[in-house]
Amino acid sequence: MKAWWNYVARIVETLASILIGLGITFRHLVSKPVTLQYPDERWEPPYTFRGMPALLSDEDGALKCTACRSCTRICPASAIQIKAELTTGEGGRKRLVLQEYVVDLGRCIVCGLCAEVCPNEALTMASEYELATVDPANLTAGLDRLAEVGRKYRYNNQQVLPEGYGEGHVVREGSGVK
Amino acid sequence: MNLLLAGVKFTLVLGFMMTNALVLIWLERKVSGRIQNRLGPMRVGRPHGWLQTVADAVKLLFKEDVIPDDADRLTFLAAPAVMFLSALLLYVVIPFGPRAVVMDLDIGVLYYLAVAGLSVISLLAAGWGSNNKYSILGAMRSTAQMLSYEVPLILAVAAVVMLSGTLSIQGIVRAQSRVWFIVLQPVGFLVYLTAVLAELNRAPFDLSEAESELVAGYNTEYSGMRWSIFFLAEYANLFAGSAMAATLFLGGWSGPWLPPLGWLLLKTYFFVFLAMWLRWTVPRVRVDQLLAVSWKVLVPISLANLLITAAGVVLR
Repeated sequence: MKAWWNYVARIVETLASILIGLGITFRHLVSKPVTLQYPDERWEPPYTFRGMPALLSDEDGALKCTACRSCTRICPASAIQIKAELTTGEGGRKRLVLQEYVVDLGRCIVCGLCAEVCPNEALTMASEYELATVDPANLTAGLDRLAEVGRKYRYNNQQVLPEGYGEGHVVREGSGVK
Repeated sequence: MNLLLAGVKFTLVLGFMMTNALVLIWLERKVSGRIQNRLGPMRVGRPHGWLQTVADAVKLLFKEDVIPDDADRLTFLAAPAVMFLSALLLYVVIPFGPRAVVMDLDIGVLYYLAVAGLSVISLLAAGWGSNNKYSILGAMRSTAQMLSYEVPLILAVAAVVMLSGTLSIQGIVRAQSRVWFIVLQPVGFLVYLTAVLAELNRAPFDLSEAESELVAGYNTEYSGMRWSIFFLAEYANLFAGSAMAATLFLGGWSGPWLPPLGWLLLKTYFFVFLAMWLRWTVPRVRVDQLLAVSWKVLVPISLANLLITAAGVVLR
């Protein structure tokens, strides 16, 4: 009798657990998919995201870089080249003036050490991540391009936030923005 | 005149079977995507990638036709043809409406069960002809599976036949005019559903093509068009099995308001969806479990069900 009962109980248990399983999968079926249709929908990276490096400007629009070359020294991929000129300003003070700043994006490993080491906070890792190109010329970013990308970012509470952050983009859950 | 009519029927059924299989494959990918919180195909054809399977079919047609050197050529080539034919023959007795059936055989149920069992020959031929360990293992598994699930399947259907007193499928539909057999045969319905999933090699009984252990089972060596014929036939069989479930237990084409075809498709697609839903819910069973479920659970239960049904019919 007991064996009989076990037999029936196992069948009932199996059917019940299948029904519970069906309930779970049905909940997933009707829930919203998590897929982002990439070229149509875009993801806005969190502000800590490391895309290409960019040069920041101060309130007057002048680049903050002092050509100290800390970034070139720390760069593990030797992707940064700086050209600077020693000039004598008023009162006989000598200072370095930045002439050219080139980042080889093909070499850059987007590690963010340059932005980390910069004593003047003149450098940031922008959130630009669509860096693939068919023209090798686009793989080297000069002063103009780096400054232009950097102008989209402002200093805010010691965090570099892109201008207009969180507007008009798809902000996904867990992207670090509330 | 008769020949012309037969030609028209053949074209209609073949066209329906092919396009419907394409739709079912698309639906399967959509359902599996959504259950996994994905979108499924979205790019080819808007909205919702409805042209995806058409694109896939065209791609498969243009693929290189590979026949392995060591294959038994005749068996290897014949297997997809037999598979396709057995799927097509099933559609002969599916009643799409009161008069919309290719042929209302007096022994329609028997015919259906016999032809459904035919596909096992093509699986065995495919496995044997491929001359490949995985293929033959998959084929042996599906043979064992189909043979043991045929028994409860037939016993479950026999109870329905007993209730309606006819082997004609149209007769069974008419016998359900007052009450659907799912009400009178709930146990038989569950047995049929389980057995038909195994019969169709659908998950959780898809051991014959268990990709984690057998690569792809009997169609390991198949590619391109021949493979796509197996794939198409599989979905054509799924539709036929679901249509049969709808006809035997849910009253087939009968129903208010909608035209008969609408009701049949609605009920059939419910079962098709159920099969897809189950696929992503229940994990695959082991071979010993598979055979144990058939011989230790389904066969005794369907036998008891048959006995009780017989008693009920006699005492009525």
